[in-house]
Amino acid sequence: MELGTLVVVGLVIIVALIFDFTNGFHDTANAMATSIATGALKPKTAVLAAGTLNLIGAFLSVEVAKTISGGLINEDAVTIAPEFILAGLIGAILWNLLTWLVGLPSSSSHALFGGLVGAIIVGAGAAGVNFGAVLTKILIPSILAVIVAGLASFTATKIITAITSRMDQSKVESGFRHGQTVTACLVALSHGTNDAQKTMGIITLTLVAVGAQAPDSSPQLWVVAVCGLAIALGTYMGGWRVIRTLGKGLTEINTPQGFAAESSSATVILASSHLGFALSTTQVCSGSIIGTGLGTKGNEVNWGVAGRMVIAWLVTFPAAGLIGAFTCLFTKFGTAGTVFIVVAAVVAGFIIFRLSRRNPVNAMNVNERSDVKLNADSDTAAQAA
Amino acid sequence: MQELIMQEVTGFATVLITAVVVAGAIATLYSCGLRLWEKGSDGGSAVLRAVSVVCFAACVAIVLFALWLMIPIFH
Repeated sequence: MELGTLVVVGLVIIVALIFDFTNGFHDTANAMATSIATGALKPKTAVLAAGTLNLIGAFLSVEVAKTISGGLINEDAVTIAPEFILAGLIGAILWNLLTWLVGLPSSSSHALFGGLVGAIIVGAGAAGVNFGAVLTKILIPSILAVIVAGLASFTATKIITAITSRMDQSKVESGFRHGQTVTACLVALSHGTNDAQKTMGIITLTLVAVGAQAPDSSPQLWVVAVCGLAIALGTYMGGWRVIRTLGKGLTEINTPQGFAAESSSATVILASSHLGFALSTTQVCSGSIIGTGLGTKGNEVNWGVAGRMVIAWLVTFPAAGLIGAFTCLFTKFGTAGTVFIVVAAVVAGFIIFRLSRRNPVNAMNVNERSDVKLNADSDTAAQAA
Repeated sequence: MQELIMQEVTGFATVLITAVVVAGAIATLYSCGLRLWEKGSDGGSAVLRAVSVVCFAACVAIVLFALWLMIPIFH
């Protein structure tokens, strides 16, 4: 293998693992936001459980890794060069970081596919993209996920309220706490079995592209291990900003509502992935929380936050695509261009991180009400207390 | 194209119905389990407590089925 190719492959693997990490911390909220908000689990315990289950999940299956592009990319029509993959990953990472900064849950998978599609359009031409699949696998499911999850969660909440309304409410709260923990763990495990594999698929695709691995072969064990560790570490770090939005920003949640939301999320994720109509975990979990908010009498859904979230979902694919496309332009300048975009992405990531320090959200203030403004001073005071 | 749209509509309807029915069933079983246990404990009825245990057992069975679905080596 030439030195230039080796550098690019090395960069792709490193950047893919960074994407995996951001995927983990961006999606911790999916499984654990409601459990943290209701106090069913302590924040640190919740992220530790989610991280561990993501790691276990990564080892359970490699089925998704074999079909990484999900039909969005015409792999027969174009050759996917490692540089395109790198540009796509950078688009996905930057979009993940931007949405994390503003605390909006958005699909890491859609960001990844968007970045890849943008990079491939610039790198190999529009013939490389199956636009029909973009419509049916990305845009339409984004809207339908909220309807399915919201309706399931709304129904579950109504049933729970009808059956338990005459019970001692303290017993109801404690009774549903156990159920909520179990269902949250199921969501975390299913996340590990799905999302870690996308990075495994990306790394495997790169190794196949440079002839370091046979085509159509499964990810190697070291790839499975590092991807599992990266997503688990990211999950453990906890995307507290997104957790706060989902747990406290959308609606007020108690343990029965948390149970209804988590059990509906787990049901919709499993039903959709096994009945051939894949839906984004992020969108399903957010839809479930909205559904339980609507199903609870006297509860209100913050439609401002919900609206911003839906816009973020719809924008994720094209936005990550634009970043991926722009980044891919630089890869045409060879290894120097490729190294430049990686350095530029690191700088952009650092700037986003610095901006996040102005209003830090962490395990200690994650359950503050959504209308409470956080700033660096209050965080220092909280840590000192 | 029309066939593709029909496939998508059918897929969506199947997922919607399955999700609403299963989520509703889980909510019913778990809530009934809690309520019957409380009633059985307050009134000292072993029968109600036994039915409550059956409800929780059904919830455990659903969780095990979910794990079976998630782990490809099992199927």
